[in-house]
Amino acid sequence: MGTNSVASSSRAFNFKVVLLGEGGTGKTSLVLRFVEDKFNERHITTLQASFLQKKINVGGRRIQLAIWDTAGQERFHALGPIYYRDANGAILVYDITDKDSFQKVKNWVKELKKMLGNDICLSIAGNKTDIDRQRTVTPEEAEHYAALVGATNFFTSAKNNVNIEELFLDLSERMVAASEGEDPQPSTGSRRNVVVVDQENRISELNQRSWGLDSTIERKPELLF
Amino acid sequence: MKLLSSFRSFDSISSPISGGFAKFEEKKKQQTDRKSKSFRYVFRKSPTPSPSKSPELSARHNTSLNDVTSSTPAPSSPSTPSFRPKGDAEFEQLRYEFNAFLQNFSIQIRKDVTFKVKSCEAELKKQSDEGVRIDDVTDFLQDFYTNFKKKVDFLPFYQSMSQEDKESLMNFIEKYLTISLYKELFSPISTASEDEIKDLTLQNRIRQLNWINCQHLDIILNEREKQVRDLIYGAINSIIEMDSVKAPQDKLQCITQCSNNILRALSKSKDAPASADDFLPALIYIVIKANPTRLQSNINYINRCSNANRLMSGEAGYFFTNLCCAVTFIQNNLNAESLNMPEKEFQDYVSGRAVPLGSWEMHFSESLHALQEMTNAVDELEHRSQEFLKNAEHLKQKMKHKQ
Repeated sequence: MGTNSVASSSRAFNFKVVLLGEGGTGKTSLVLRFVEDKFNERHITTLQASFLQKKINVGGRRIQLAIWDTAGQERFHALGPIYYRDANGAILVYDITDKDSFQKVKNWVKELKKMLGNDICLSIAGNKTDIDRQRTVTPEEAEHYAALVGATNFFTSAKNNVNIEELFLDLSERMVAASEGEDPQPSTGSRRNVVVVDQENRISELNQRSWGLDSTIERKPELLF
Repeated sequence: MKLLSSFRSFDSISSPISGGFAKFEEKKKQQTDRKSKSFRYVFRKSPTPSPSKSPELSARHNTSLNDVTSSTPAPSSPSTPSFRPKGDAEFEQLRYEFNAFLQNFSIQIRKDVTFKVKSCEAELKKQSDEGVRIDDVTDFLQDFYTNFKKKVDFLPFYQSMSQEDKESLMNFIEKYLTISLYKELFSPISTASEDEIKDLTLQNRIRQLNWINCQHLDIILNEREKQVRDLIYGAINSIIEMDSVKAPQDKLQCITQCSNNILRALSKSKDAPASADDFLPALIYIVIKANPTRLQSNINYINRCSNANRLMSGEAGYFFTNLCCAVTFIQNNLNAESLNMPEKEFQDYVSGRAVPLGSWEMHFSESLHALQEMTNAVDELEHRSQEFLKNAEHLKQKMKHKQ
């Protein structure tokens, strides 16, 4: 770990973020708004929104986000674990006017927790606040649930560009904190409800993977130069 | 030997589509052949003895490797030995490029790279000859990637290289090792029969599902449009081509190309950026239509031998993950329930007792294409003749005015 902390000041972080959400929740618009800052489909230059990358800066740290969209149809539900293997973060999107899509988010969270425990940073986005009048998922319910599972809750509008940037920045901060082994409890206050239980294992694993500081160096002396 | 090499060169030119059976044949041949092909072939190039081997390097090294490493070739002389079978042209080409690349760097870097990579190559070869489990052999390979990357990133004498050069170097190393040891790493003898069964099982399964069309998977693909159809053909060709290239990154490149063709076809059909909800079903569809050779073995090989960092992040990793998802879905989850059809109907299609409407042949039969082309030609002719008549009329009017 010693070498790691030396390198960490200048290193760039690579994070894998999976995007989960039913069709129609606006998850594609949400990620396109973040990456291209566009909503109207006619202005969007990319052919695809299934895999997108964006470089951002958080607190002087360079971060490369790789955003993995996942197929949200029920028939592909069983494939989830293949997608979110090794993910650092997950964004779960539901439509605030569609209770079923919120239920689906709950199912995914349960599954993510079961498979990855607290190794993954979760953000839940209630999208389409631009049609708040038709809301069926109450803000209290959403916030309560997010707090319960240790996720950060956001109400977003891809259409009006509300809270999208905030959502990604917050997630990035928590992923940096998790991989640096700091206490990811935010200093800014009560907005976030982060529950992180012993991330030590994950951290060393992560660092090994991204920095090649593998413990096998000791195990295989013939490759020590 | 001569006979075998001529067989091999025949295989290498045969199209990957027709090569399904030929590939299995080739594999069998390679297995019987491999004993006669000494490992030292791979290294023998020029008899130039190693100029100066730094003592601490050789001291640390296993003595059994010394006979191999002592004949370090001069990196700049890619003389092609005449005894190499023609099938190794790809490897020769790579070695030439690798050497040319290394010429840009200091002698210290060149020496270190060639020595370490060759030692690793020898060790991998030794392990697979001794029958070490493939997963352990490739763990060793992965450790080598990781450790070497760390070395390149932190050792002072490597810091004259740019970040880009370092990446190229890692790519060359991966290519060199995997192409050189392809026979040992791709479906090795220890698992060959098992792999063959798995590949054939998957291929049969896909053949039974060949009737599946876009409607079944709710895919929006405008197959009536020629451009979309061409992109679909392109995707199918790319995924089939995967079996005929050797390096993991080349295989991943085929998958990426296939995926990009699919995404383009989707966005053309939908007029909006394609999301994963569109992409995965379309990829499943393409895999079913292409029914690529040795698909399972290729996936295993990429999983084991591709630099793990590449699979973790980046576009290629994403597309590869989707391919794994598609194959898993085809194997385990593609059934009457997931297609929302009665069990009996599904079984009828699978057994070939019935054929669904609107099948692939509707858009992909050659005669229908020809018909379409002819219709287009007739339309074009009609358009032109109308133009002509219009112009003639115009001319007539003009002449009248002149008079």
